[in-house]
Amino acid sequence: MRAKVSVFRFNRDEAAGPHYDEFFVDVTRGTTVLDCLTQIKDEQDGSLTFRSSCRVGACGDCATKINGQASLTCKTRALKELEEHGYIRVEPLPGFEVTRDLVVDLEPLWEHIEEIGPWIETREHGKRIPFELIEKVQRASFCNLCGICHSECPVVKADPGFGGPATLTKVYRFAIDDRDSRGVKRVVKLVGGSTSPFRCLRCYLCEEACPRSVGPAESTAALRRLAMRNGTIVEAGIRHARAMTKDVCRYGKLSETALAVRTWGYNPLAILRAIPLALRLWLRGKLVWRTEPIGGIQDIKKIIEATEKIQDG
Amino acid sequence: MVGRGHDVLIVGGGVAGLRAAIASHDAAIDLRLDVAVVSKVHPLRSYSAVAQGAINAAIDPADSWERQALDVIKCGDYLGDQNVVEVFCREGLAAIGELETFGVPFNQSKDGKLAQRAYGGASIPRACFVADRTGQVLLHALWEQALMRGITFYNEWYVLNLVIEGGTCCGVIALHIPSGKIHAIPAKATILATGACYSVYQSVTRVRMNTGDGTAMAYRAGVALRDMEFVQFQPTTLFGAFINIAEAARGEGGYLRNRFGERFMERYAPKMMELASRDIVSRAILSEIREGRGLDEGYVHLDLTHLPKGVLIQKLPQVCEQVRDFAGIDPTKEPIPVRPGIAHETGGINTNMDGATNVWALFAAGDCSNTGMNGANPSGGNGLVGAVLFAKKAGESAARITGGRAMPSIRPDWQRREEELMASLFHSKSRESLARIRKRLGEVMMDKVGPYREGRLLREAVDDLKRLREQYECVGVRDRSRRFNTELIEVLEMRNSLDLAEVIVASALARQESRGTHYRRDYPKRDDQNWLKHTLVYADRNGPRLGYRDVVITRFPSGVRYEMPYEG
Repeated sequence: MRAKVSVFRFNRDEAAGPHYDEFFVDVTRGTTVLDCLTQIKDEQDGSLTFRSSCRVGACGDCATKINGQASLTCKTRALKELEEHGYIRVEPLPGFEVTRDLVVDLEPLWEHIEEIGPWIETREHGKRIPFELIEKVQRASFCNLCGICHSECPVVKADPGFGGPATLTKVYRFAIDDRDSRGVKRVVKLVGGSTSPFRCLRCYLCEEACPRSVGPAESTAALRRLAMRNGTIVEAGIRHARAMTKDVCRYGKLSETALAVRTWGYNPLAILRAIPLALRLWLRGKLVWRTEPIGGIQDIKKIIEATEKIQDG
Repeated sequence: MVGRGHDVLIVGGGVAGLRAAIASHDAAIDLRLDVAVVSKVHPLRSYSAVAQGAINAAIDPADSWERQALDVIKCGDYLGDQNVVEVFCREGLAAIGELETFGVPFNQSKDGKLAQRAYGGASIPRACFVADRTGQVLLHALWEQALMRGITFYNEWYVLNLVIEGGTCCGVIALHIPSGKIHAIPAKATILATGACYSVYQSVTRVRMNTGDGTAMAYRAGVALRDMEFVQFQPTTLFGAFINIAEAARGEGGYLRNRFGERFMERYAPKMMELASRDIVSRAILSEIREGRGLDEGYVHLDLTHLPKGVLIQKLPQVCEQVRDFAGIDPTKEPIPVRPGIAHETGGINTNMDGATNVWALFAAGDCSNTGMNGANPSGGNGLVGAVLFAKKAGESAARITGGRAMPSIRPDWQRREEELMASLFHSKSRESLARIRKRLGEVMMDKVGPYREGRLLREAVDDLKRLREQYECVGVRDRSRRFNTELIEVLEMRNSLDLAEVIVASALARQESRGTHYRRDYPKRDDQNWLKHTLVYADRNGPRLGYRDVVITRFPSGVRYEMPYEG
């Protein structure tokens, strides 16, 4: 069938600013969005510029935004998009500077990756990864740094200084490898900085968008646990998580007043700043000084203990 | 960075290129050699990422390097140089150990030994693997190690030509793709690692970027190419999509069935069945289809439905993902439609074991090179080991020759020549469609120089290629912007594809026998008397000039392959 494909165009050397061009292409059952772009380039407009390399979903070169969703063009079936939207709109991967048309400059991502020192440093040659770790290390290693999660991440959008899910997945890959001489120190070092795993909002957009299912959000969560288990408490995120777990364990609910204080730490400045809020809470009768445990607290404790065991495993 | 030159310059950022870069750096750590990698894509986008299956090593106590060597030699139909095969098999194990040190998480058995799966042409399970994404994980690990060593990267730079003066390579002329500017990059030693040429058979492959740039450049500069007539077709590519379904699927126990549900490999290779060499399986599938036992549109079934679901999920995640994404089939429930496709060029730049070519200071490694190891048909699972093993040697020998050599200077007319060529491409009016030439080239090569060949068709192909070349002369670049001009790159790449197609046809026409992947209907028998020799091709004014060299035979005299390799 004939399908309408609308493609973002931009070349800063040309007078026409950013705009969309419309093309019509032939689509059959197996046609991918990349096939559509190739068809346009071959037959209609040789100047259409996009990246593609392996064309089979392995290398990650062809990441773009298709009908609003960051995806690999080589893995996205054109018919499926047409069924859902009636048209196909292809735009460059958001969050990066456009070099030309659909090609973006991924340099900010590469810089983040390089900054963490993405290589294994071993002193013991020939030592093998323990059997239990293989699956986890493999899953993280399957990330091909296509940039999709980086572009979807709302924290990166708000602050490009945040390394994003791909960078954290890379950190995770090495942090759990006991052969790496930096190992868990890698994550401890990040805590409190611009790429702290505690800055993740747990929105799971990265997890859903990942074309290789490498679990970037789960890796980030695992990094947070690693950081906490290794005794770093320099960040409010960690204190908050700890205080919450403790409260739920003790009362089965949150003791909000104490929680706030413990999250900020016993920091006179933070407490001073919180006084207006505390006053407002008090006026509305929300400042509770004593928290009573709820019924069935013993069962709640058991659930938490079981969960912790699973997470450690 | 540009212009000052490098001690060692590697063209190509795939597994071979990166391994060579690491080796050059490590060969003389105290000298702090300046090593750089030029690649037309970001190294992580190299085609190595697609190599799925495996990496061979004789680890099992029941295995030995001799046993592996015999398998490789038989698989290559006795055309492999046995001295090279011996080195390959003896040193392969250490190469794998190195990769583990670089952080590659190979699959293991519970007792901490490396897991190994059965693979085509191997008499014992010998293939180590990282699920079915071995190449991608290897590629990333090597890139990481290269970063650690501070190697310079020229990403998205397209090399236009080698600078060779007085029989010595002095570096390259390259185009910076994002800006469209041309620069000279001098180097004391240059290593080509540009991968195999797939683009020639465009009609049966999805990949468009492996255009044999390095091989063609070297050929035009007077370097010999070897055994170019041998083109291996992957037996099981997903029907309609031409995505290779990893051999691992058969290694894990997948069956091939025809329309009657028969495991037809019984007729062609009763002992090895689905795990016979790739050339044999490909021809068997094509025979079934031709004799009417294929399914409707010309394919057979790869059946994985009898395998435990856990095996599919853990060991073949990518196969499952690709079959689901590209064909909408659930491989745990339905058989996969497959047919032979994706032509992999076995031949390449003629090198010795150290990667040296007949031009001083020019080396080659990986799939663009040919050490003579693979013979007439490469074994599955040898590509990646061969790439890391021989790339390491090439990197080390390149580092060695930089000692005492001054940084060469490149005369400005080298750069000017490329600039003029580019200007002519930009200014000529395009009277011919590049896409049409590409399509036609694919058809000619597949129909006339495919898995079945004969003299008459090969001669026709020679004429067809001449015509295509004339048409190519009328191609210009319609896109006038210099910025990230991918159409320009495609036009330049096509020149390389056409040169190599010509070499393949000339070599195939001359070899009047059937051996390995090269099957001639008019000469259906192997002929050791006359053809136990390598083809060497040189560029001449009138086209390819052929020469021959004897195969090195040490301890394995030429004999029959284990099974009926040919049509029968």
